[in-house]
Amino acid sequence: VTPPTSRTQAARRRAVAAKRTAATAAAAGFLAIALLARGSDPGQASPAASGSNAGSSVTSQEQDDFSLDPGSLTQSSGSTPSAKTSVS
Amino acid sequence: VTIAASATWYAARSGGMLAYLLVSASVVVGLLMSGRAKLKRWPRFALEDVHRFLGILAGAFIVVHGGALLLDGFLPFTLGQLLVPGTAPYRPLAVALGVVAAELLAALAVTNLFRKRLPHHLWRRVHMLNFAVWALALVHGLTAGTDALTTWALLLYAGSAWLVFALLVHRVSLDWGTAATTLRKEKQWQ
Repeated sequence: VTPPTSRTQAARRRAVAAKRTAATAAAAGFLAIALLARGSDPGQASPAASGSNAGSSVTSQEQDDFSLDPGSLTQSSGSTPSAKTSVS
Repeated sequence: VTIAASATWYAARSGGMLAYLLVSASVVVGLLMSGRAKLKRWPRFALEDVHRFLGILAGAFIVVHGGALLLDGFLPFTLGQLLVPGTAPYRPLAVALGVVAAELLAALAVTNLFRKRLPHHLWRRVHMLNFAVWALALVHGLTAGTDALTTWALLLYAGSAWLVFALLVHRVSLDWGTAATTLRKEKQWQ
């Protein structure tokens, strides 16, 4: 026969269970978001992935053009010298 | 080498997004506690335990985010660029918001360690800066995140932001309600 547990002990056990669930969910979420990010890359999209996300493929390509193009990165930080060089 | 490089890049993106979500979850639990939510099965100490744990977990994923960016060769960051706001080679302002958020979170974690030595009202006011951490992380994710404009990322940002705002409005309305009741009672006594 198990001894009756107090409400405090029960709450403490629930907190431990919630923390374990949070850690597991975080690990699973980490992998899931990494896979979603991989699916967003036009070069990495597998046929199955592109089939299920056919509507978002255009957005993904636009996104990658926007964020990963080194030219746009240089422009955003201000690259007037290269422009002057090409003019002269 | 390509696979390893890609792995660090995806780990950086995923780690950052997850850190933001965990900060959001920690803020949500904090708002539930301060809003005096009556949860029979969840006494304050248990909620506080989970709240603290979510903050630590968020910190761990911030380390994953920064560490992966440091190792990744696609956007070469130095340790100095990850620690000093505004020195990043990629979107300096947007990255600076994330750096400030992470450093502020670390500073708030230190104040939590010395919570018992600090006057409660001071600790509580400083603890409110967690809202700034959350807001900075949200703007950092939206402006620096390479996945920010994808449907799934927008849904995650919008869902978490809505939840935090809804609870914050509820919390503020509770304060206003209490203040109005106190004022009414004072007037009755006069």
